[in-house]
Amino acid sequence: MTDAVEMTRPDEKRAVAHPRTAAVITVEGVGKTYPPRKKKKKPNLVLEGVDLEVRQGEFVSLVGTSGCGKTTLLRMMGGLTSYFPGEIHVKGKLVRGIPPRIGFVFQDSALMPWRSVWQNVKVGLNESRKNFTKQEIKDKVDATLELVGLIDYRDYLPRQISGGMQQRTGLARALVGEPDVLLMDEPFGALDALTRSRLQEELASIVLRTSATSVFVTHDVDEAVFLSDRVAVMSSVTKTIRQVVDIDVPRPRSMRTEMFADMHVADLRREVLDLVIGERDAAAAGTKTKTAN
Amino acid sequence: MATDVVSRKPAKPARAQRKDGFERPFWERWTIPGKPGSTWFSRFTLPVISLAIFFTVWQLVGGRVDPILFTTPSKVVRALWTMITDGTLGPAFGVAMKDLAVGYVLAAAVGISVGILIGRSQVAERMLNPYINFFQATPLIALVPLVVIWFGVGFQARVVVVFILAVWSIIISTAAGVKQTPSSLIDVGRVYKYNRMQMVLGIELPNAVPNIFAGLRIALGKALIGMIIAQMEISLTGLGGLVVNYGNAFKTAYLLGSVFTASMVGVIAAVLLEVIRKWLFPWTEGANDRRR
Repeated sequence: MTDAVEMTRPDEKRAVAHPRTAAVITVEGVGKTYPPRKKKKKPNLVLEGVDLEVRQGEFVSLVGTSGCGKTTLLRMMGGLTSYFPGEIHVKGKLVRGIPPRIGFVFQDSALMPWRSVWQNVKVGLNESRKNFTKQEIKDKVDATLELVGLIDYRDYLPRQISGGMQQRTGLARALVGEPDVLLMDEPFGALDALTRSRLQEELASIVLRTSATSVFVTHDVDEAVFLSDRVAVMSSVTKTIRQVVDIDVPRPRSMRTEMFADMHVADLRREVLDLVIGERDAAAAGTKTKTAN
Repeated sequence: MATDVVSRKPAKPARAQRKDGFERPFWERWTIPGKPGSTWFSRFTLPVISLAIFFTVWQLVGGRVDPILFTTPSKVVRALWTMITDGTLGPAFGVAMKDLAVGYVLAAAVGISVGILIGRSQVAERMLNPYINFFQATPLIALVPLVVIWFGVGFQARVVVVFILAVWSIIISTAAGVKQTPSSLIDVGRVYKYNRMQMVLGIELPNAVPNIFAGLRIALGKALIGMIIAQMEISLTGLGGLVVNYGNAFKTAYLLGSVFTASMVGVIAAVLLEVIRKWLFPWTEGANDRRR
């Protein structure tokens, strides 16, 4: 696993576009099927024929009802879950194993309880630690903690800080290595509404500054519309991306409340919401017919 | 509006009135901070009263029984003092501590290493589980004669007995802790390109620390049994030797004094273990309620 660091030559460190599609992340015809639990049962189809391109610096959200495979797709991009058939390219390279220099924000923050906030963030520099001196590592971690507003809590243990702070620590850990690709798996899912909206605003401004290519998984339509350049609505019926909605609202975006007061944004939100709800109802209808049989 | 708030009379502090103690029994004045309902009285005085009653009854009953069969606490204290001053207890205590420490530390080192191996590798687990189950089920004291055949009747044999009694629970709990590493933490290690060494030492081993200490606690009790048994059955030294000798001589007070010293060994070791845990792994405090 360490070899991945050496394998990355300096010229490859910057985001390399896919040769054909010129996108940082390219997903082509990707699917996944889990083998049946018992013999004679149907295999479990999770994803099928997914196509998606994420361009340099773009922020794309994956939205859908639970069980539509959005987290699975994100984990595939991060090399954490295998896929077959299809191809995923991240920075021009076929994903088999974890791509170099990515940041990943986990659903439950996934902090190590034995490390302080500062030490947890330092984990994010593990891959590139040989390129930096101790002082540089210290400065980077401090700067990132400053960015997420946790510099005063650097010596606290994860269990001593609130859930929102834990999630911010997880975000800092993903950002500290200055990744080209930032993958986020429902990072605000477990937070209360107020903390959530504040963190969304913070994330919007942070992403604007870092210009990382980001993929964000959520089931919250407002969150997706507020943060994204494009929103991909996934279907749990067809097990693929149903539609991608462009959120053509200029950045920097203001506070959430102000943004949603805009008629155009409200229309976009409505559009995405209709798609998601349509999928939910279709899925419900599908299960109903199944049970009827 | 603000003036309104200021002018209002401050509410009567409810606590101040309670503090003067008129409404409650006098001992409830000394409540332990942060622990409502628990007072210094109930926490320390009640155990002391209980012990005082016990020792009084023992003293009264013991004085009326044949001194060969039974003894009194005052005689035990006198016996302990004699043993300390005439230099029998000190060396015995030292031997006991040394047997225990060497065997226990060896068991911890081997137990944690093997536990990590089993926790990480399914092959190792499948291959080693039969032995672990066998030795867990076997009354290991029955192996003492075999230990004597292999290791003689000296220090080595006693250490081996302590070791074989203690090591299994350390292996089992370490393996459980390593196996319970949350998959999200493994994912973190993968995303940030941890190598195998970092995975073990940086994620799986720290994650197992609470389990390891639970195993060490259980193993400590077993190691103590092993230590006494070995000193009684193999070499007749240390505290176990004293117990046997005084038992054969019907010196009940001295026997109980030795037993009391042995239990002090256990208490010291347990306290030491707890101090080490708090000192080296402060984050394990209340680690059971951490998320997943």
